[in-house]
Amino acid sequence: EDDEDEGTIFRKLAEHSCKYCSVHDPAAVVMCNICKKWFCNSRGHSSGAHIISHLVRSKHKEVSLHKDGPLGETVLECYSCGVRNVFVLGFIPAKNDSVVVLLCRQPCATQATLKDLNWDQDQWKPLIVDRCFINWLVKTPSEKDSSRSRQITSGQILKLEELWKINPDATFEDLEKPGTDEEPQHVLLRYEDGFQYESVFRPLIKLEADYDKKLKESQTHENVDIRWDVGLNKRIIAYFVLPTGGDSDLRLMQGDELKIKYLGSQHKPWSGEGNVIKVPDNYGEEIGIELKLRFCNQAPTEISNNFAVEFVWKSTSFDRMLAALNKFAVDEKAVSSFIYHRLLGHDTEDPLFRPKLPANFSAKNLPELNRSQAFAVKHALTRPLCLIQGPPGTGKTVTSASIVYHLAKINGGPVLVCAPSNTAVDQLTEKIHQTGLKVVRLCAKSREGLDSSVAFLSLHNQIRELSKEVSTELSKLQQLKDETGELSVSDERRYITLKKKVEKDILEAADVICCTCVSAGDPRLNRLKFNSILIDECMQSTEPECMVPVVLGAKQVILVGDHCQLGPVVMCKPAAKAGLSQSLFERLVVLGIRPFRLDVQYRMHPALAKFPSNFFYEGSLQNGVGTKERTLLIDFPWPMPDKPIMFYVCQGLEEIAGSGTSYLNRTEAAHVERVMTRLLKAGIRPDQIGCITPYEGQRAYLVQYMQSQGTLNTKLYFEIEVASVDCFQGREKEFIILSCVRSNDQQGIGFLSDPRRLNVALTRAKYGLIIVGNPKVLAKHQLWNNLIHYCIDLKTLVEGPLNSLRESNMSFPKPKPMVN
Amino acid sequence: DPYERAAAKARNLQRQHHQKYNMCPEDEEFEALFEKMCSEVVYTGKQMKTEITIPLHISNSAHSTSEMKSNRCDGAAGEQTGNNPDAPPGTVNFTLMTKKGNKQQFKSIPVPADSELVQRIRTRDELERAE
Ligand SMILES: [Zn+2]
Ligand SMILES: [Zn+2]
Ligand SMILES: [Zn+2]
Repeated sequence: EDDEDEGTIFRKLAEHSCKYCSVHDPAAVVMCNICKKWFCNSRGHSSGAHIISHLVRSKHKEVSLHKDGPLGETVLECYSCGVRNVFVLGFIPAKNDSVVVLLCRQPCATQATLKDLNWDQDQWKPLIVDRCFINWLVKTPSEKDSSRSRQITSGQILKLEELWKINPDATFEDLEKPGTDEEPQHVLLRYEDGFQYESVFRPLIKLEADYDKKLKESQTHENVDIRWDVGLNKRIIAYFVLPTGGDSDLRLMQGDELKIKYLGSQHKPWSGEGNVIKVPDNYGEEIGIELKLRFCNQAPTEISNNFAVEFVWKSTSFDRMLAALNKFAVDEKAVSSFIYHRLLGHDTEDPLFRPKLPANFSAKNLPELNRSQAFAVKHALTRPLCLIQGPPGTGKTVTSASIVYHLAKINGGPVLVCAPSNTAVDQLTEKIHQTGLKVVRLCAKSREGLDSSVAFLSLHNQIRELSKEVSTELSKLQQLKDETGELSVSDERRYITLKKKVEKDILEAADVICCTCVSAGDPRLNRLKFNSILIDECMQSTEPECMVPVVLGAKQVILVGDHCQLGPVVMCKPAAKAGLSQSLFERLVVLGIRPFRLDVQYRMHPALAKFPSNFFYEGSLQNGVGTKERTLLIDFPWPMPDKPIMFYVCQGLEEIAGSGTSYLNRTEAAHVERVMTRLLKAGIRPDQIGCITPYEGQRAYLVQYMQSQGTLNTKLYFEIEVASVDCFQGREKEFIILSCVRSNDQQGIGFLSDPRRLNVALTRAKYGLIIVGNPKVLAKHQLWNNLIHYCIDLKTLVEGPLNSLRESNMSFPKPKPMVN
Repeated sequence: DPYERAAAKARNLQRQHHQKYNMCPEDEEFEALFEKMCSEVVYTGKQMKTEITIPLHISNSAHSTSEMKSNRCDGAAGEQTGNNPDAPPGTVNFTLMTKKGNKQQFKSIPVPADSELVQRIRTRDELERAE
């Protein structure tokens, strides 16, 4: 059970929903016996009920009622002769009893023998009146159901019927995409209804899913050598290095699923699946896979070569997004009516929202909030939908945790707290836990084996702990399972039952449940409903990803993020181009919902904060820390010691890295290593230094270069984190070295041209920032040109050896004034 | 001219109908096809029953419409199917007699009290009582 795939919380759109409009009340739908499609008894925007429109257009004539309707499963037919043509069927009441039968108009209803018997022959009435079924036989869908259904026109009905003649499985969405080669429809600002919303996003999610699938499945590597190991939990771990490790296209993540196959002849054929527990990093390029329980016993651990490694693609996250969009469209309980209309961009009155506000907006055990943070908390508590913008270092996590604290106190639990990445969820979980609220961290099953600072709060660990107190039987079974790796069938069944019970108790008692956006679709949350939902780092998830938690009953939604930092990663270019890479946060901002901005930053030396403040936040960022508090008196050749930012000119050539798609720059790596060594010599701990480089090729080269060429103890270099901008989002370091790599006059500056990425890169450092790159190339980009001029003005554009840096006399065209 | 008047009246009705359903050319085409399907004469050649009998237990348990209230169809034996133990308020329970193979089935169905079916039966019963 522990190894099982994770499904989704959402039910698929009911089989019996109207093929035109999606109404799915069993009492209001009818199945066409010929094509087995369901239709409702509502007119919508046409002059006949949907079911009648279908029957007439397709020349089908027979129908059945739904098994869950008032009559149960019933084929409509003449009681006497069995004819099923609904266009000639009617009913007759008995003379003295409240009994009715269905009879055809000709000949059965006019039969002479009826006359003398119990039946009131003159009372024959057709089943279809005014081109709808009579409503006591098939209910007219309620106003509410109809208003939440797709508003299909007669013209669209006709087109859909035509389409079914060619492809009986076609859906309404197919009407809108005549050819597959065409570009997908671009996302909109406003949507008419949930169906239009779904129909715009569905193709984009499918594109991204297809791309992801193809990319992962193409990554098969043969001739892989494996180093076997056993983890603390007794699971078997396979370590290996992939030959093209470091391809920038594929971001291997902890929790990803891989398959290992034995291809040699020294052992019988074997293959096993497991989850990634280690990715290439400073400590080595090895990838570690923890085998799933059921593959542990048979693994050929005595053999070390001739294996193949391939990716196992999972559709779970995409399935959950699709299902969430569908739920949003058809299920009126998915979100409150206000949230529904607001997310679609409709103008709608704010519902009255007058919670009892706390006297102090700070939360127990968390730092006292500053003015703008306290206002943000108040802003969030008093609105059904709000956006909070947290520029770098402004205390976004503390503010979010304080909001959650008060939500739980005011409304009672559970509050759902999500973020796109596990790192962000963990950070927030930790802060909320400090307030004393009961927090449960729900992890994807594939990540349960991974260590984190909040592992003790994770659902699976809480189950283990609680079962020690409340169920010795479960505890014993768990121990047995841990030791032997498996249980007998009956024990396993018992184990699952007991575990479910404890799981339910924990979830029901929780004040707050924290998980990634996609994990909000986990079946373990099935029975829960969340009135209040907070999503952090909201701009890093795609809109459908955000919808997964939102459709779990949201009446109050708080989106925290910063649309001036990185957006979501969308791999498929056409999908990104069509707008999938725009976050919900951004769209709502464009729709006119003003984000509340936290405006005091506590991270950066004021000289580091100035440029980002001016160029990304209209100069609005105030400094909560002073120059003094952010100055370290160390032996480092800052050209201007009170302005710890410098642009270190390096004109090396860029090359294509080993994998063919990623860039590296050897001269620049040497420069970076020298800066690092200098910082280490000055007494800075390696964990206080971070190196940001946009290219995977440069990362791998740099790690290897500094460990082999660095003049200090190799161990020191191990602990300096070298990673992409994306990895550093949401985090900070005392010193940051930014290695720009691109030095090629002919081409663009790629990754670095995204202003949001530059913003993130520039705002990670607390005490000092060293940019290493070729300003000649970079200055061609307006934003970089501005940054370079900022450094020139500070007299910190420098070149030469570190010991004798001199101001560079390069000159660049004046930047055009620009507004971000 | 009575003919003109009748034609004008018909045109007027037609216009009202069009406005009511906001009709487009597709709807007009649909309505024409619908009329055609309803007027088709179907000859199935199937054997018909000469007589339709209501079994006693159903006859007894089903209330006469003259005492229609929000009632229950409670007397039926095992053959009773359908999903209506209780009729919702404002409705009257009827029993729909159907056939599965050669077996009779009885399904309880709530019919709105303001439906044409209930209204007509009420009028009929009142007439009978008056006689
Ligand atoms: Zn059909
Ligand atoms: Zn419909
Ligand atoms: Zn008949």
